[in-house]
Amino acid sequence: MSDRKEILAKFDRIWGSPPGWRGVLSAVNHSVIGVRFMITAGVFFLIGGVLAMLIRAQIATPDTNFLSPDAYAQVFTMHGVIMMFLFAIPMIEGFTLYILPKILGARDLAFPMLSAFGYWCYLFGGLILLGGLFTGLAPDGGWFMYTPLSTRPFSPGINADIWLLGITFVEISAVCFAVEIMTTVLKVRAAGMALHRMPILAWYLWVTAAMMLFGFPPLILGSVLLEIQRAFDWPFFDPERGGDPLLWQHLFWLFGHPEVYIIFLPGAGIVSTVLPVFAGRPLVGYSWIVVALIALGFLSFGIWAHHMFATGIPHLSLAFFSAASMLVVIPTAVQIFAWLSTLLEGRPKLAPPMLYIYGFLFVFVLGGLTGVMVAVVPFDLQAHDTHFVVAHLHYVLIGGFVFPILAGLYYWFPHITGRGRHRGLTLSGFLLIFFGFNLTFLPMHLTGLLGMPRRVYTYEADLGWGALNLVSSIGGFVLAFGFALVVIDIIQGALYGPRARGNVWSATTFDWPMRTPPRSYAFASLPRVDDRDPLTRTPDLAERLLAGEGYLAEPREGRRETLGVHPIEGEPDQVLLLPGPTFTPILTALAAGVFFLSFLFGAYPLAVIGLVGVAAMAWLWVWRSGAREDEEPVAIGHGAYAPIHHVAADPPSYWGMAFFLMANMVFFGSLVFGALYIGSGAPVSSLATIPPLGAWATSVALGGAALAAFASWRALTAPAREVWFAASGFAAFIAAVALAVAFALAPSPTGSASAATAGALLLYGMLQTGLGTYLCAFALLRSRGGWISLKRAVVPRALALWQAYTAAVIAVGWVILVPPSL
Amino acid sequence: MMRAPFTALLVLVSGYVLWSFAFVAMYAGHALSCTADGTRMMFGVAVATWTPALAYVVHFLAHIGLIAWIWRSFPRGDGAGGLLWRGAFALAVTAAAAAATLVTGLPILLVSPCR
Repeated sequence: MSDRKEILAKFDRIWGSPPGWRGVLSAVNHSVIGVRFMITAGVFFLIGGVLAMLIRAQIATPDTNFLSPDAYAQVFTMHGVIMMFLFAIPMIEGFTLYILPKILGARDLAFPMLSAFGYWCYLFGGLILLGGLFTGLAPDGGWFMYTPLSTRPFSPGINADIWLLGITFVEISAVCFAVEIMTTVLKVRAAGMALHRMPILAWYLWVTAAMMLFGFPPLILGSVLLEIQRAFDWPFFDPERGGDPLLWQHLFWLFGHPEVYIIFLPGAGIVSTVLPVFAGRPLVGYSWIVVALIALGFLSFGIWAHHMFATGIPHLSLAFFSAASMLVVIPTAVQIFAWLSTLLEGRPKLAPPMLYIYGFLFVFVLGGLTGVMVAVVPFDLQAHDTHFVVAHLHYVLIGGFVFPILAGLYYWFPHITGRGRHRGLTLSGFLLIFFGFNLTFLPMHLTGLLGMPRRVYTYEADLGWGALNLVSSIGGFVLAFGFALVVIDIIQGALYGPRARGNVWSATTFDWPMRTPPRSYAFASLPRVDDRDPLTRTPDLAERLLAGEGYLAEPREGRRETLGVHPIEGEPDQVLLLPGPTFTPILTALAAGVFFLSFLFGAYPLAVIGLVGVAAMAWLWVWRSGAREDEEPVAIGHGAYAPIHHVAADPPSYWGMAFFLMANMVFFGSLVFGALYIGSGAPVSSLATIPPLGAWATSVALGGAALAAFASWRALTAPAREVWFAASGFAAFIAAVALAVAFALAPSPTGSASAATAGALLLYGMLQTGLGTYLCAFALLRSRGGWISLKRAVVPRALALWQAYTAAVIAVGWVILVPPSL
Repeated sequence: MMRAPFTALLVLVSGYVLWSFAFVAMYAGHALSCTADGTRMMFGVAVATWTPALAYVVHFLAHIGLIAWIWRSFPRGDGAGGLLWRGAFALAVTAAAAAATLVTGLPILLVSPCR
């Protein structure tokens, strides 16, 4: 046993973060980063809550002068921005980073450095937005920043720029998270955890990550286009020069509606995990819930114009979106009936997490019903932009996310802190939140139906909205007291709560058979899975794993090891070596911060330096990974062997690149949509936006990109690999230069929206081919340094994927730009 | 190795990928038809109705084909648990997606175009 203690001490040394400030800045461990995300998101939630109190104080009574109209506009905008972008999404990210490896039976995520980088991007982006708030320069055009209000003539200050750049910085974090989680769920699981044995929460988080991967790029593209319009006068959204303000709404809601489900699904995942524990039986309808999740993941993308019913879109198009909005009800209802059936079939116990689950069921179902109402076009036209919609969205988001998150907080509190809580405050906190919430938002339906528009800073007494608003404001303050009690409850429990070790709820998932609070390595040895509820069959699993009866039970050469598995069958196919503490993520995020801040203040040369810094840090990031020799398979326990991931056929980094390119593809697809959208509203002749010589240059670029793709593909297997890397890089460089020539020859992008979209397409191609050149140089030097072989082929395979994708997008761009020019 | 799991995953969600294509084809087809003289009549029906209707029918037939292919491709009865689950799962997802396409396109029959 003393040997085992020594082994565990070694695990601690290998997986732990350094003490003091070095640990703060260099930690990459998923538990540390996850908790850090959640605490930061919690702080932003409190700030957003204070802003909500200011809003309620201002409109509690008619003709109030508590806030000026300008201040009110900043306050309601920042309330929405903070709650959506700085609280809800990051809280999901933090929760997922913390819990996912544990429920999958792994020691960490696929890309720990990416998680740390995501955290720093989130923090720095959030601080930019918060800086705007405290200097009186906060965004003031509403959380969805509609054009033309947010364009330079109507918002001349930097308020809108703070939104566009701050949010884009934060969303880098979301895309990193999506790549991280999609790869982790597929590749970093316990041995034997085939898809049908995955815990239900992993399915929820995987679908959420997929939705983020496809949902955020349109928003990022919209923000980039609007910022380019504001900074350089490219008129994408200016109708006088052929642009269209509605393009912004399309791009925003392509993100914005899936965002609602991105926020709801992790909450529903918590419900599906916690509710069966307290019902005392497995979840009813596991497979049907997974089918419903896939349906929700897709259908929620067909609803974006459901927010644009009042914009004059033809009725038949509206009917498509209305039908899709109705369809979403079905997979949501499947989950609700599964939860109710689980409760009916089990013997539910009332524990603190269950209070919030019951609250969730009541509030969310009401929000869902009003959602069906606003999915009906004629009703929506009546309720559009009124307080009815504000009430609906709060019922859905607070009901569908905050209540489940609080259930999760109370459920995993002993896991995170190793302590329980005194019960006194929990019930009071819940009651104040539940009744305060309904007191605030139920009357808001009526104020909306009486015609009160959202976002008005005051109203006249004779409109008859005063009493209802006063009730809402009182309810808002009751709600705030409820949250204050929860904060006190949690802090008190963390500091003085009774010790709570082990599986306090008798749960059956892998997050509980470990020491609580969890050690940095999570599992002393890695479990094997034979069914969905492993602790039911093996109640003493925690002791067995601690005794080293699982996989990878002993540390090897000071490496951070966890198992990689086949994405479908879940059988081990490699040993992943994960990175330890490093300053690279924070330095890369700082370089990105230099770019965003410089752009914000118009210091464009400095912004370029920031980009160069990001490129240099990315080089260092990847350069330090890998091996210079083909290692033999290593023992993983139970008589089995597996290759190290450097030489595995299916390493996570390749999946990571594939997922990143999917996000990139959505970004480009949104740009193509924008080009066609603007082009379809313009005379056909205005589509021809580049002269014949530019068209020829674009054709040369297409040829160069195709050659680059071919050469990178040949580099995978040809003996003279380095020659092919050089050839690929040279062809990509020629393509970049040709696109630069086409850009120089094209009409000024400030002249018309179609010229601006042509310019954007050419710039995108230049970026892709430029990065292709950069990657070729990297691959060439890696190969010369002995880091690449036929087996250690992650870099060449990723390069080949990149170059193939680049050739494809340049071909699409060519089809859009060149034929109309000839 | 990469291709096999990726393809297997794609099959699981292929029904909804097809629904996505159907949705985009119907919406874009209708919008573009309305932009380009969609009220012109062809066989007594407006062009802006024909376009999404054609997309609707083609995609629905593709759904039927996909369901038939999945029905034939996966084992039934006794077999490996994971494969059985995946087959039933893929079939359920694909059938649900076909129903979604059916419902999404119904307004074509009911709503006049370009107004």
